[in-house]
Amino acid sequence: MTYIENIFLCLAIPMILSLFFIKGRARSYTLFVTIGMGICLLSAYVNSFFMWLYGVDGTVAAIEITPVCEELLKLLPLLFYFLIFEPEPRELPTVAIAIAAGFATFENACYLTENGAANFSFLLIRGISAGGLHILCGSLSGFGISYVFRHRWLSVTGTAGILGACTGFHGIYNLLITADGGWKTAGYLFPSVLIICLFIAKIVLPKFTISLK
Amino acid sequence: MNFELIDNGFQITILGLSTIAVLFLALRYKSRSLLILALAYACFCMGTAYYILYLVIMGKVPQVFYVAEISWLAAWLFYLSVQILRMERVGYRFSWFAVSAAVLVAVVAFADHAFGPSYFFSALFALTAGANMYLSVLGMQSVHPYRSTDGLMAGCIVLQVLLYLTSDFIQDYTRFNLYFAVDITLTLSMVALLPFTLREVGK
Repeated sequence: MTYIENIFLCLAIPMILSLFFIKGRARSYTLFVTIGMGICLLSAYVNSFFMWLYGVDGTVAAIEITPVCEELLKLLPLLFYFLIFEPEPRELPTVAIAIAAGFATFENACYLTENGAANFSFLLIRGISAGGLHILCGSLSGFGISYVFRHRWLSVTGTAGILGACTGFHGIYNLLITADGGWKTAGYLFPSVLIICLFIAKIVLPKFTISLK
Repeated sequence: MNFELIDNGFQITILGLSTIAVLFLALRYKSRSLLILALAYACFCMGTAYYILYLVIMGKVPQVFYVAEISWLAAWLFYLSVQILRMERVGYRFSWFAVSAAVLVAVVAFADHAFGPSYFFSALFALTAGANMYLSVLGMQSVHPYRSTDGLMAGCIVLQVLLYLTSDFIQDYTRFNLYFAVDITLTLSMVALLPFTLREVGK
């Protein structure tokens, strides 16, 4: 049994304490990373509830239930921040990525507690791929909501569409990594490849998003 | 070889290549419409990829939750976003004919339980397809030079609903039949949205 609440306390309390002593962007980033960790904890509860409700095992839950619950819950704090605080468009991608990074960090911490930290090479690959997946989804949500779909009705259909896109992407990743052989390798590789592409795009196309017609 | 694999493989390949092409063109023209179209293609491609990978890896179709359906629904929401963006330029108005077409599509999609036994997902799809149909018919009735794009979008919606209707009568998915004919036509029609949108963006 993994006591995820205890892990959450150990990870989140130092970050929460640090909030009293830092200011500006560093404070916002730390806050949203901690929120991301809290969302990961919450999604574990929601996943467990649906596993019990449908009477399925961990594998089926990881492939079919987890992507939907996790992506939906990750989007909620982002939407709350967007709708209540009405930030500048350029601030939203950072917030989305911070939430995603916090989520991935807490998920990895729970994975380490459950499976041990002995296998360095596997954990390195898992760290990159799981981190890459969540950050890709965070980037898509942040950039999509702030730049592409920032118009009346477009924001409704676009936000719902982005949630679906992240769910499908996450579902394919979880499906591939729970399989064996080449599928598993492909699953671990494709978020890493895509995050490299995203990084190149970020360097090559710095002004693209703000000059969309 | 199972024709379901061939059909879905064809759809993934064609839509995957189209996604790359539209992304490239979106960057070239700095076009929001093309970027959203790329998202629509990518989502449709991911939905089919999830479905077929599940079939290949697990040996059955997904039983519990609707990941593939959510991805397909996202694709239709992005198509709806493209139509909203286009109609903002043309202007909205009320049309009984467009409402009738939208209600017909929505009712057929919902009554057929297009997205499985869940009322919630079927209702979401029916709403999205209906709204998209309304805007497409409205576009066809308006006086603007790109009504063929609206006609094609309406055709795609009809084909999608027809695909779900056809699936009610087909039991054998190992050989070519009407279901696959509709599915291939739908795939090609969706890809045809690219040159039509590009023509509009180029102007």
